[in-house]
Amino acid sequence: MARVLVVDDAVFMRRMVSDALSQGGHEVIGEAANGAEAIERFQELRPEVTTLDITMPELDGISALKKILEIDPAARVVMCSALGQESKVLESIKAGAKDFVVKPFQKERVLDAVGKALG
Amino acid sequence: MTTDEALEQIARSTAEAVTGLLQTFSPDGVRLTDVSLVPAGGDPLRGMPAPGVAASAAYVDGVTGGNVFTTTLAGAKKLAAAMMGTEAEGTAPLDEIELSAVSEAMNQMMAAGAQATGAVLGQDVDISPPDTRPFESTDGVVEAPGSAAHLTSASFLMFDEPCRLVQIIPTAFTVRMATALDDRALAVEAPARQEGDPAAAAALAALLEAAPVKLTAELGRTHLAVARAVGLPPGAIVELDREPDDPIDLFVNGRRVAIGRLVVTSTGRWAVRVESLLPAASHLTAY
Repeated sequence: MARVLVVDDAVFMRRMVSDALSQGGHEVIGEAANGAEAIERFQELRPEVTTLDITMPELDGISALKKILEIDPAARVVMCSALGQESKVLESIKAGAKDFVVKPFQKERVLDAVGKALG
Repeated sequence: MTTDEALEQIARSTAEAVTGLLQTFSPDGVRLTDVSLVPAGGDPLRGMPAPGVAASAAYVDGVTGGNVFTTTLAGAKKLAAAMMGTEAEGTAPLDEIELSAVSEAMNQMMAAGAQATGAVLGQDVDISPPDTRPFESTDGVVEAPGSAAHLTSASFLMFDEPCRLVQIIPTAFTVRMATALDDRALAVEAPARQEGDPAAAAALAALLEAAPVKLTAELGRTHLAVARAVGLPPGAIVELDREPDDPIDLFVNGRRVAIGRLVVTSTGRWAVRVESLLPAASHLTAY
């Protein structure tokens, strides 16, 4: 079980990810709707795992990932991407994301990814 | 390839990608019924009932253009319900979570469509986050594109409700697309060599066609001194010679036959999208 920050611009997606995490015994300690908010919340909450959407207004997920890893190089981040964003997924993994989930996803896949991030 | 053929191909491949994505929410509830070009001055939303919900997304790099997906209020509610795993109820306007679910579906549809477009163009295509809003009338939902762009229209039935995907495709884009498609056709139709007795060659080719081969995808490579290679500790990072965006090589039984792109399937597995075949491998030739 981990304390998780969920980041997605769609409130629907935040709810789906949060539901999956709660059912898997994790605690969702905060949410953010764009990359800039994600960085603020990360700094404030220091979650054990952060899930990050890639396509978001204000600041996208990859830029947020890089900032979060500057704040804490040991941060565990799982990227959420839609189909067709493979190069962004690769860029995220190269930048230091622990795993990724492709939307639309099954709840188990989210839990697997968070489990993998926790190592 | 003519402009109309290029437009039709991009419209169809995008519409099929969008259908496939919608079917992940409802395997039996979605059907593509028509793909057509909209004549200059025509209304791409002709026949679509109002009120409804429209979501629009623009391509942000690689390609200039945009997509607008529209459906009825009932269609949007049913789509949201399918995504949330609930039943659609009533005819009230969409609440925040329903609108967000439709927007997310649109985001995923547009990403799937962009992937299809990118496959035709041979380059990655990225999209902006979609803007989703209800409309009372279809007037003005899709702005007239002017003379420098074309409109295509794809019709779907989703949970028995009509949906329409309109693509705004700039002329410059169709030119590039036609060139890319022509190049691809040339690569695939490279002439085969015919030697020796044609009948024996055909029989041998038929035999060879059934032989299993090992297909390997190579992400990258590097050279190491053997002392370093055998002394690598767990956790060591070995840099390869490719950038994340570079194409990867495909080998059949150790022989390089094609280049492609690493992609992720809807089930989260790695896969390879073949971009081009190397000329010698484009046909099986018997000797």
